[in-house]
Amino acid sequence: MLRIRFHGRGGQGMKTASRILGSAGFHAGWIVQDSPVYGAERRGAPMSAFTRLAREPIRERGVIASPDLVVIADETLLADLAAQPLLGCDTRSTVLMNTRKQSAELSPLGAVSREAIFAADFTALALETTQSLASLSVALGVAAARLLGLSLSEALAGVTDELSPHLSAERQAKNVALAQVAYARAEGWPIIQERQTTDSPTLVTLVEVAFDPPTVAAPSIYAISNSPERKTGNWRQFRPVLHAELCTRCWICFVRCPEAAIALDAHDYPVVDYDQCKGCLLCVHECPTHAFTAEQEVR
Amino acid sequence: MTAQQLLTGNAAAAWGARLADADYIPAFPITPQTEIIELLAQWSAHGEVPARFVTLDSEHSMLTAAGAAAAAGARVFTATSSQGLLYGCEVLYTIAGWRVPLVLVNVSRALASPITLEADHNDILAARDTGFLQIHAETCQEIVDSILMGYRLAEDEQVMVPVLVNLDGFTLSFTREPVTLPSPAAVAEFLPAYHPRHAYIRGDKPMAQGTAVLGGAPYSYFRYQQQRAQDNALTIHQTIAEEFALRFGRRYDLVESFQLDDADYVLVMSNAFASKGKAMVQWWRTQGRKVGLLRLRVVRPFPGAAIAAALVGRKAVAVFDQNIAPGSGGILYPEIAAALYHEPRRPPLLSVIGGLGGKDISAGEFEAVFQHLERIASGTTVIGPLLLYTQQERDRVRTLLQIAGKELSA
Repeated sequence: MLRIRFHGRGGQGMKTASRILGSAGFHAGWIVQDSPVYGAERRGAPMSAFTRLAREPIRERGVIASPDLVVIADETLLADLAAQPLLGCDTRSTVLMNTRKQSAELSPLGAVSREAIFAADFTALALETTQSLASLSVALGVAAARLLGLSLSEALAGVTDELSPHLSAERQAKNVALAQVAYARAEGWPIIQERQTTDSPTLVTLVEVAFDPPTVAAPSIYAISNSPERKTGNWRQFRPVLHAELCTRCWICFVRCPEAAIALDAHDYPVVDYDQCKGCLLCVHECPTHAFTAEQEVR
Repeated sequence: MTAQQLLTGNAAAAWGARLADADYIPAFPITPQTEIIELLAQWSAHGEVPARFVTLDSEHSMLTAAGAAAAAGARVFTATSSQGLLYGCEVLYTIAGWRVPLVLVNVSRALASPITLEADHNDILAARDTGFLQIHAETCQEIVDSILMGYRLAEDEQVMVPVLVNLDGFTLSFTREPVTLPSPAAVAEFLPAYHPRHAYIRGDKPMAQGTAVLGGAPYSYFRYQQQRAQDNALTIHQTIAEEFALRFGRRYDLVESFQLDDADYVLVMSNAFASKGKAMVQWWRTQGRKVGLLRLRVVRPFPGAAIAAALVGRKAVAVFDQNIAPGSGGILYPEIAAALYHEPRRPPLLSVIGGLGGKDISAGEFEAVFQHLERIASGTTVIGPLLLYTQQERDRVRTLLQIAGKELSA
């Protein structure tokens, strides 16, 4: 069995990527299972998705604890405790990373060997070819398909299956073009092989669940006003940038910001708190004088 | 033979309703079920499904509408989950008493509080005594098939009670796997049009349904009749299962035996996590350990005889409850113990609680359960309920509690 785990942020298309890979594998004659896991739907929040390809009926379900391939859509997830994309990776795992860095520049990734880290700027590929960040799903889904030895036509069949019910013919054509570019980008990378042996289960220690007083055991939160400690700035794919010369200080952005991440300075100009701003770009859309522009994050 | 396609559990449920040619679909959204009614709404809007699709203001109204339409002789499908099932629970008892044969899909999601989204079975088992039949599915294929079998069972004149088909949130609802959809023509032969003989309210055929009775004896009569209908369902289910297997090549019994023939040790599981148990059984077999699995599929009526037949004479049996009845333990454990009570060769039982709120049951935890089984087989007295909780999970939860401002003892 081949086990592939996708890590991304809500909106980056990793559920779709896992399905593109699943459909591609299905066209290639594999037995397939794919599934996403996420909490309350939030753009920018960490999520993951799982694809399994096998020759026998798949009895595993849910999370993949020991992945053969980890696909990481966003480098900032590496440092995110809620994501932990490298969890369960060992020396036989491969990492496919969407980043502007070269694979050699990436600091050691857990137990994964350097030769098994493949990096490319799929965001740039997506923006050049389709002008849409959502197309990251296609780029990474197809690159993963190539890493698993699926053919270009199987990968394209996966893309068509997933996108044709949702996209116009023109958008589909652009995504197919992106798929071809992304597949070509992954050519030359070695193909991941199925593990020949089943690992023995890792023994776990079961612990007694003792009584705790309700001050601990009731699901209440006493530490109030600590949400600023959860920095959500790295949820952004685009950052709003103010061009003060166009700003009329109408405060609409200040009022509308759903995260209260916009304050006013001593002269009543808006100031964005980039530690908290999630990049929803409501300010960009609401500003009547177009004083905010959206700039792609450089990470 | 129709080709396989990849479908989520939710899509499989919607296809079940579509293939069953439901007449009326009342709907109300709730995660993780909403995709079922979204797909049916889309098909209805595009004319691909002739059913009347109606959105209601709550699950209580939705189930009332479902029961009322079924009382008018329509074939009815609807779906809910978790809090929604509980909110509509009063109506479940009411319409089961009307003896109307609709199919309700529940997508299991653990109950508040604290609130969560992932699966366990406290929701579906809260509907255990409503009078509905219950079929619990392990795979996406089984969802479609159980809905079709469910209508046949519900509409049988020897039964005539509504059916709940259960599937797990996330692990089935959002999970795609290969599914073979039977052709509409083949389904129409297996499941002919429903012709109501006792519930057919129309303007020109007035009747009273679910009337008031006082004095106890009439009430007892009608309640005992529900018991007898469920008794019949045990036999009728097997007849339907045989016919289904002949027509479609897939056999579903009241319970499923997996590697049981020579098994010394048995895991009893239900729903999607039974797949994980089967994977462990396969692993143990490669290690020369004789372990098997009994999957509970039809939970109401409770197939006590089939369960007892599968479990007598084993060295030890672990009953997994993916639910918790605080103050008692697992909900299914006492039912299985009761089914074995009169058997002289009843095996030692271990009650295990795991998978609450979708918590994984890791291979390591299955190993720990197996070690307990060996202990009770060698004469250790009762252990349990064993609450599956690992050191790693405890440490992680302690971190969360600290972030929440809780003062923890060392």
